[in-house]
Amino acid sequence: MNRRSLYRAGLLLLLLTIITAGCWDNKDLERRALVLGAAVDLTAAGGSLVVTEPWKITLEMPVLRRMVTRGGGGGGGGEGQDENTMPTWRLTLTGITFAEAIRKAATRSERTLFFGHQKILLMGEELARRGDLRSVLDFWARNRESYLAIDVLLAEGPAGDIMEARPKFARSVSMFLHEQMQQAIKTSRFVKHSLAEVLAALDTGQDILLARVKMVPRQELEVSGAGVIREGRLAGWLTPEETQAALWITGETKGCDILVVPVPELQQTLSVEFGKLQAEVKPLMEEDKLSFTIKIKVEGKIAEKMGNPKLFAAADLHQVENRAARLMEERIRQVLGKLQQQYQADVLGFGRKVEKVRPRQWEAMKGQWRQIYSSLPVTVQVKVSIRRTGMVS
Amino acid sequence: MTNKSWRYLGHRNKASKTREKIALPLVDEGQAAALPLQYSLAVNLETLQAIFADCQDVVYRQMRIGGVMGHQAALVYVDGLVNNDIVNDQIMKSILLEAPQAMPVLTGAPYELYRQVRDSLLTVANVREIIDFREAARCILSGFALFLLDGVNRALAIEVYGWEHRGVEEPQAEALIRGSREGFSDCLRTNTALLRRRLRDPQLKLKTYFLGRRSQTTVGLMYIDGVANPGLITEVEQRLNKIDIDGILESGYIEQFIEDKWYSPFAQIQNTERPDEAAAALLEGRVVILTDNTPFALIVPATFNSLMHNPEDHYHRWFIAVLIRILRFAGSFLALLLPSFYIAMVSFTPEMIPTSLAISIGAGREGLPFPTIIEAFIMESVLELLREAGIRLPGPLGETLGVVGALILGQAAVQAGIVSSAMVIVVALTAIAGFVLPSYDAAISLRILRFFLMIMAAVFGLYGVILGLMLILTHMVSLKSFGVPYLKPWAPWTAADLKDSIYRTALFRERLRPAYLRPLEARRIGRGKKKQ
Amino acid sequence: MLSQERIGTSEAFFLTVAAMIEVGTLIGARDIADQVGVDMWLVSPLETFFSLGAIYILTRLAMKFPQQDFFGFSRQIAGRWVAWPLSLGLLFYWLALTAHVTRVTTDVIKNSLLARTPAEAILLSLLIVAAYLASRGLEPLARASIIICIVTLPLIMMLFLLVLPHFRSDNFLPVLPRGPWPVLRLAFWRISNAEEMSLFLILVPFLQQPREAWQAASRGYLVVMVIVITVLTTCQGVLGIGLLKHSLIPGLSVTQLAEFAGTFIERISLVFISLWIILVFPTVAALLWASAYLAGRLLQLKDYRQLVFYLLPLVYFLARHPGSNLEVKSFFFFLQPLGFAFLLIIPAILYLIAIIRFPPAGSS
Repeated sequence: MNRRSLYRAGLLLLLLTIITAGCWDNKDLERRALVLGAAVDLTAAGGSLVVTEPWKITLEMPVLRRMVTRGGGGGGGGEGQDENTMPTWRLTLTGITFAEAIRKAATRSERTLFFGHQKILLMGEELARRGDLRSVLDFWARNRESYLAIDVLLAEGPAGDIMEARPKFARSVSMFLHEQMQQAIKTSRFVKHSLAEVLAALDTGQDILLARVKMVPRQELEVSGAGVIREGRLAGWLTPEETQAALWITGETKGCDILVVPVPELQQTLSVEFGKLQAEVKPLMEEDKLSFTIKIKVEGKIAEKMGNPKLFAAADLHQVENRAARLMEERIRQVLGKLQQQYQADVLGFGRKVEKVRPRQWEAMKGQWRQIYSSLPVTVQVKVSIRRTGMVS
Repeated sequence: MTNKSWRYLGHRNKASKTREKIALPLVDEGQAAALPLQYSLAVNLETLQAIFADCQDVVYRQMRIGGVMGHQAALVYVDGLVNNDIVNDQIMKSILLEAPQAMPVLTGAPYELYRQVRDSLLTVANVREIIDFREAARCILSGFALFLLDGVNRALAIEVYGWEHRGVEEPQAEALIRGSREGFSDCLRTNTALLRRRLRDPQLKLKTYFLGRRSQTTVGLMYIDGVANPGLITEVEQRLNKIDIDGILESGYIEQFIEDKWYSPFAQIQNTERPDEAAAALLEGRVVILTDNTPFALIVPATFNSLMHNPEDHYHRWFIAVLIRILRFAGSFLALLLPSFYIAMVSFTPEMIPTSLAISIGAGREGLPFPTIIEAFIMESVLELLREAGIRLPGPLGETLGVVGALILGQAAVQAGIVSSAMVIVVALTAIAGFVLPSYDAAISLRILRFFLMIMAAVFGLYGVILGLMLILTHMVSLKSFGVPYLKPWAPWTAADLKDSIYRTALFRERLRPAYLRPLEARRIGRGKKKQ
Repeated sequence: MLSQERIGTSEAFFLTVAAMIEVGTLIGARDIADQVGVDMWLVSPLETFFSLGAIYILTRLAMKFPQQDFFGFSRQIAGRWVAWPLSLGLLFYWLALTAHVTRVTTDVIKNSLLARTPAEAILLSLLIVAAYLASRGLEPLARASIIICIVTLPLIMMLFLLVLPHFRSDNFLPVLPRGPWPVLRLAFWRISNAEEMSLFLILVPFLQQPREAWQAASRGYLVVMVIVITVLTTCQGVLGIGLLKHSLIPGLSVTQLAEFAGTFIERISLVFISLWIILVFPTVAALLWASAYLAGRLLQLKDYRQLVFYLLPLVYFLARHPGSNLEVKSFFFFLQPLGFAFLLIIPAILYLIAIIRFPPAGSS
C-alpha cells in the first residue's frame, strides 16, 4: 500500500467516521410533537405592554394515539372517544419573544416541538390591534420547519380561546380551520391569505385582509368576514358581505356563494349563483387627478326563485341582470367607502396598481398616498350575465 | 504443489511447471501430454491402468478378434458414462462377430484390421483416432469407449456416452408468460442443440474449451460470425484462456474469473436459463458462453439496461412492453429506495408526509422499542431470511413458509408492538417491487444497495440518500463490461440505442443492432416495407 | 497531453449543463433583486447574450489550439512567464469557486434538510463524494452528468409547472422604472456568473471532435439559461420582489407554494431542493477534476486524478472560513472580478495576441 492509497483510505475512514458519528437530525416522528396550529395573543388582556412577558402562544398538538380512530397500533381506540374531548393537547406558553416562549415547551413536553405540519397561524384581536405583525410573524418567516403556505387568520377576541372550540367533523381546530380555508374560493365570505402573502405585503408596506374566526354557540367555529390590516396592525373588521364585495374587486374569487336579488318588477326574489368573475381595476390620470375605474364582469345562473311563479322570459333575465349589477355596485361602493374613509386601508392594492402602471407618478404621490387614497374617486361598473336558469326555465 | 505453480497461467501455455506425480498425466501438458500410444497393447493397457489406478469404474474388456489365434484387442470405458446397449450391440458385435467374417485372413497385419474396424465395421457415427494418452484419458472420461488393438499405436475413441441427465425442462428461475417453455438443460450438447435449433445459421460458431485442470469442463463459446465484433470475441477468448483453476463446476466460476470488477455489487455478465434469451443476445451481437453441467449460460457484455430486459418484452406488442418496462424500472427504484426514503421521511423530514398519514404513522409508532432505522433493519433482515428459507425449503413447504412467515409474523409483530404496521407495508412493498426485476442478479445487487442506502438515510436523511445515490452512480458510470460502459445507452448518450431502453419502440422500427456492441453487421431489419 | 480520455460532443453538452446548474441559481434571484429590483427578470436574458459573446471568444481561443489546454496555449501565445501565473490564477479561481459552491450548498442543506447536523459533516461528505466522482476521470464524470441531467432536469421543470397557478403577471410591473442602464450594467457584469464555462479552457483537447466545442458550449449554456430564466422568472412571478428580497433561498420558497392537498409527498419543496442538491455534485466534481488536471499539468504529473483528494483540504479550508452565511459573500468577493477576467478579459487578450502571432492562414 503506497502513500497515495493510504491517503484515500484515510478519507474513506473520515467518511465512515462521519457516518457512524452521525444521526444528529435523526428524530423519529413519534418523538416529535407535531404542532398543527398556533394561536398567538398578548398576555395582558388590558393591553399594558409593560408586562415582562408580553407574548402568549397556544400550540395545538395531536395526541397521536387518540387521533387515530381505527384500531391500529397497540391499544388505541379504547380511550374514551367522547365527542367533546378533542384528541389534541393545547399547550399555552408565554415569553419575551415567541422563540423563547416556544423553547420553554421543552420543560413541559417530553417531545420536541415540530412545526413542519403547522397548518394555521391564528392571531388574537388584541395582539393584531396593538402588536406589530411583522415582528410577530418573523419567527415563522425564519423557522426552517415552518411553511410559507400556512394560512394566517385573525380571531375575534383572544386567539387562545378559539383553540378550545369543538369542531364536529375535524379532529382538531387547526385541521378544521385548514380545511375550512379551502372553501374561500367558493363562498368568498372570508379571504384566504397564506403566510407568504402576508409577509410580502408587510415587507412592502401594503395593507392586507385576513380571515376572521369567531366562536359561535356550542363551541363551534365560524370563519367569516375579514380583518383589515393597516400598516401592520388591525384597523377593523369587514362583515362577510363586505368581504365578498372586496374580493369581487381584487378578483380573488370566482364569485360568491349566493347573491340574493330582489326584483320588484317581477315580484320575485332570486338567488343568483356566480360561476365566473373577471375584475379589472384601472387607475386613470386626468390632469394630475387620479381616479380609478373598476369593471367587473360576472356570469351566473339562477339557483332559486321565490315569489311570483311566472316563468322567465328572455327580457326578464335582463331585468334580473340589471338588478343584480346595481346591487353589486352598491355593495362595492359601500365597502369602498368603508375602506377608504373609515379605515384608510389600501387592502385592495390600488397603490400597487398605480406603482405598476404609472411608476413616475407613484414616486411623487407615494408620501401622501393615504390622503390621496381616502378621497380617491372610484367609478364602478358591473355587468352581470345570467347564462343558465337551472333545470326549469 | 509449489507456491509458484499456483500462479494462474494459461492451460495452453507450454512453458509450464513440472509436476512430480505421474498419476496426473492428462491434466499436465508436460511430458505426459507428449506420451504417445505404443504398439504393444500390454504396454498401453498398463499405462492406462496406471493412469486410472484405483478407478474401479473403469472397465477393461480384453478380447481376441478371430478366435484363439486372433488379434489381441481391448475396449476401455467408464462404466455409467457409456450406454451399455450401444457398447454391446454396435461395438462388441461388430468387432467380435463381423470383423472375422469381413477379414477372413486372420494373419493379416494388425493395422489392416484396425482400418477395417474403423472404416467399415463400427456402426457408431462419432469415432475419433487417438494417438496419445492425454487425449485417450480425456475421451474415456468424457464417455467414449476406447478401442485398442495390439500392434497399432493408435486407438479409436467411440462416442457411446449415455449417462443420465436432466432433460429439457421449463426454466425454473426465469418464468414467463409468452415464449418458449424450453430451458437449457445440464448437458452442453443439448444446450448447443437448443441454440442451433433457434439459429439455423452456419455463421453461428461454437468454440469449445476444456477449462479446469481437473474437471476438464467443456465450455462452449458461441457467437454469430459476421455479427459479433471480433474484438469482443478475442477479448472473451483471452479472458477464458487465462482461467487456471482445478475445477469449473458452474458457469458462475467462469463469470467470476472473467468479469471486469470483482468488487462491484452489480453483475457485469448476464446469465440465463433460456435459449431464446441467449439466441436474442447472439442476434444482437453478444457472445454466449455455455458451460457443461449447468443450465445457466453466460451472456457478455451485459449492461444495466440489458439486465433489466427480458426477451419476452419483444414477444409482446410494443406498448404492453413499454408499460411493463416502465413498471420494471419503477419497481427497481422502489426496491432500491423505498425503505431509505421511509427512514429519511419519518426520522428526518416528517413534514414531507401528509399530515393525516404522519399522524397515523406516528400513532402506529408510539411505544415501539426501536428507532425507525433499527426497525427497518430488523424487518428487512426478516424478509431476507424468509426469502432465503423459502428458496431452500422443499417445494410446497417453501411457499407455505413465505405466506405464513409474511402474514403471521408481520401481524404478530405489529400486534406485539415490536414494529409498526407502516413499516410492514413498506417492507412488503419493497419485496414485491424487487420481484418485478427479470434477473436475479440485478435484483440482488439492488437488495444489497438497499441496506447501504438505509444506513445513509439514517445518518443524513434525504441528503444521505442523495449521497448514497451519488456514490452508486459514480460506481456505475465507471463500470465497464467487456469495454462497454455499464450505463449504455444513456451514458454515454447514444440516441439510436434508446429505442430499446426504458422505452421500446415498435419492433419494425428497431432496425439496427445496439451500436455499443459494435456489430459487424448493423442492420437487423431490412429496408423494405415497414410492415407486412 | 496527460490523458487519453475522450468525450463526445453530446457528453460535453451534458457536462456543461450539469456543471453550470448549482445551488447558486436558486439563490441568485435574491442578489439580482437586491440590485435591480423589479427588473430582475430582464437581467438573465440579457446576460445570456453577453455571456454567449464571452463564451464564443473563449471557445474560439481554445479551438484555435485543439491539442492544447489553457496552460499549453497560453505558453505558446505569451510565453512561460505569463502562462504560469495565469494558470495558477485559474487554478485558484476554480478552487475558490469549488469552495464557494460547496459552502453555499452546505448552508442550503443545513437550512432546508439538516438543521442540527454540523456543517463540517455535510461539507466533508459533499466534498469527498464529489472528489470520488472527480477522481474517476472525465469520462465517468461526463456519463454521470448525463444520468443526472436526464433524471433531475425534467422533474425540476415539472415541479416548476406546479407553481404556475400562483404566477401573477403584475409582479413584473413596472418595466424599467429606473431606466435600462442598471439592468444592462448588471447583465454585463454577470458574465462572470457563467463561472463553470471556464472549464472549456481545458476541455477542448478532451473532445473527440474539438471543432464542435463551441456547439457543445453554446447549446449547453442555452439550456442552462432556459432553466435559470425559468427559475428566476417564476421566483419573481410567484413571490414578487418584496418577498424575494427577504427569503434566503427564493427558489425553495417558490416551490413551497406548490402545495397539493393529498399528494403523497406534501413538501414538494424538499423534493425540489434534493434534486437541486444532486445537480451540485457534477459541478463540484467537474471543478475539482479541472483543478486537479491543471495542477497536474503545472507539476508535470502523470496521474493527476489522485490530486483531487490532495486538493480537498484547501477547498475545505476556504469553504469553512466565512463565519456566517452573511460573510460568505464578502469573503468570496474576488470571485466575480476573477470570473470576469477568466471568462472575458484574459481569453480576449490571448485571442488577440494569438491572431496576431499565429494568423489563421498560416496556422493551418
